[in-house]
Amino acid sequence: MKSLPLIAGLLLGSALPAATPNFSEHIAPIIFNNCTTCHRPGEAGPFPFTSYEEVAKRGKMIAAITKARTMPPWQAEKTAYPFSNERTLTAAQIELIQEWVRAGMPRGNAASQPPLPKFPQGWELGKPDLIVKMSKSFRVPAEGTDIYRHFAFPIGLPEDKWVRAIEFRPGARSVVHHALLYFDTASLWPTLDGKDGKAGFDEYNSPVAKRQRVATWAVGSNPRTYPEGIAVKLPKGADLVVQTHFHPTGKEEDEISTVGIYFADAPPAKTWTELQLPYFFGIGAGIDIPAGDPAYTVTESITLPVDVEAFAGFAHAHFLGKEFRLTAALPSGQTQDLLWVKKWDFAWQTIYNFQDRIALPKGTKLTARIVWDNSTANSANQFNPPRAIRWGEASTDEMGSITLDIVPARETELPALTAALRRHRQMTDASRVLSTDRALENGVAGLSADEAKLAKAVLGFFDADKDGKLSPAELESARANLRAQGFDTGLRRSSLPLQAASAR
Amino acid sequence: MYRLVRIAAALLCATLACAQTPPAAPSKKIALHLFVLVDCPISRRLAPEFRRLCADYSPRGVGCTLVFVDPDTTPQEARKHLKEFSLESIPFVIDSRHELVRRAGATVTPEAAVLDAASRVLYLGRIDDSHVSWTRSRPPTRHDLRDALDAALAGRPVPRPRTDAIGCYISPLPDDSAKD
Repeated sequence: MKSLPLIAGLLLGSALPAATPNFSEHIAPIIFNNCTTCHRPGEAGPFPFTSYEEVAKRGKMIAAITKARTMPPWQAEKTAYPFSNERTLTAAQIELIQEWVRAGMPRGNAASQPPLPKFPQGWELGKPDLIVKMSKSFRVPAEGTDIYRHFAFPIGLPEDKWVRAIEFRPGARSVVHHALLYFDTASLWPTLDGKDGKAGFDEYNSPVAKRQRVATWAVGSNPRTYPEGIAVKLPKGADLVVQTHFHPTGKEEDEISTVGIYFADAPPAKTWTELQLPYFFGIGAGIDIPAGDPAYTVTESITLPVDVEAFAGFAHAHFLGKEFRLTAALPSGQTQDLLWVKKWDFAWQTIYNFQDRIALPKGTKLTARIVWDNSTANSANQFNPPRAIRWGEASTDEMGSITLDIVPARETELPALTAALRRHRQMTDASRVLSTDRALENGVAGLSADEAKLAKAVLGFFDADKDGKLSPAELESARANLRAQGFDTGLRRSSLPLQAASAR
Repeated sequence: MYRLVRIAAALLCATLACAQTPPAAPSKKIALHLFVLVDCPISRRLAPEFRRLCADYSPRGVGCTLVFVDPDTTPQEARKHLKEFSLESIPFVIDSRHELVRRAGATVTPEAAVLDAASRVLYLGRIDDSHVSWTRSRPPTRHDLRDALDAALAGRPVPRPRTDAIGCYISPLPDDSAKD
């Protein structure tokens, strides 16, 4: 029946190119190069796409899911700065798939089908320098809501090491949704691990200063590899703590994750610094989303104190997240998008690696705008009718931030950069404290220990007459000061009690 | 070769009665066909609900059948799947020629069809509204299939006889003409 493509071509008329697409010449290169890396045996994709038969069997599904741009999973819009790990199909490729399926999925000449790319087996970057593995498996039930669980991987090296890449390998591929990896020096985990009879622990309140997010893994990710010349410090005595997010699959699954760590030969010339707006996923940003609000928005800016280079971006929220946009107003007067996720989907957590480092000169104003949708129109909303949602670590709580991974252009300016970031975090907290009516008019009186700690820090900045409280004039001047720095000091629903956010 | 294996599997199924072939026992006045695919993630995620549905409705006179829609699924694979997902108590059939798929008009997995004694389709659609898109799910608030079964058992018209199921499309049976 070699005539079928021809007949289809005739029936569909001149809208089609002369030749109907066939698998061997047109479809196999698209699928093998964009889909098969996950859709092959042993990887996360539920269906393998390694042959004509396997692809044709799912043809209708592939046509629909690529047309909807659900697959391949990628959320960032194109900006002036291309990504090195972008996985999207072009409009022409998507249309070719539609045409092929409409035409009955002809195979074409099997001899002209390209071979499968050479996919790595096992560790993608070769044998790691250090391999750590969960000592006990964690059982995920057959159904129920998503589960977040922390697992500690003891490392405790006798000296500092520099790490150039990290690969996370889940054991039960279909149940692990994403994982956030931290190097942790707080060592609080031994008192928590397994206390509820299951491997790992739920909450981990390790101070921000004592943990650094070093990698993110999600279905479809590659190992985290830092650009040439950048490495992350694995401090002496530090352990790896992984927060893993599980999606039940319909049957019980036992997860044992393994992590491979690759050391750099030498310390990096420049120090990786995390710039997060708002900091720590918005813990101090007063996120408090009214039920039904279709566009709750947090906007935060920071002006860079020194020249920096950005090499990756990351957006994170939970089910209510809607849109993320990070822009850079350059001293030249030009404004550029650095990362723009127009249609957030919690299902995909990806680090967006810039193809080339982006030079952001001193004086560049970075602005993050994050929008949440807590209406019923958001089909990911876990509550119907919607409920008011505040900041929290559970997936039914909310959080949100945009992270930019940067290095100072000149390493000598690192202290100025980190000091500015620290001050920015303090000002975020202050803007929240001062956004309540008559804030701190009685100083720390009546506050809990945590609240008092935060309040004292704020008084340290703005209590001009040092009487331990804020007068109406001091409060007004403090608010004006914060507004001038780009902070929102408008009255918010969420007031004290506060978490001692800056202490974390 | 591929085609031969498929035909052989279908014959094996037909001759060795690899599953209890519907229609189920005559005492069951209502039939529930649950269309499934061994490797479809949403079909897999709803397995615990299939188990509960059949446990709840079989005693009330509903004949439950899991319908594997991929003609390449072997009886061994089907049994392994049932064991893994604790569905062994539910009768199954491998619908190699899509007779049940066509009778109900099923297009995706998981999808459910409720049929009366005369094989009229009283309900076709989703199990519940837990899946709103391929990547989004939430606790269900509408249990359309249960509502349909309750109505059918009571002899009432089904309130919403058709709903859209979210999942994996049922591939048409391989058309020899398209295979060159």
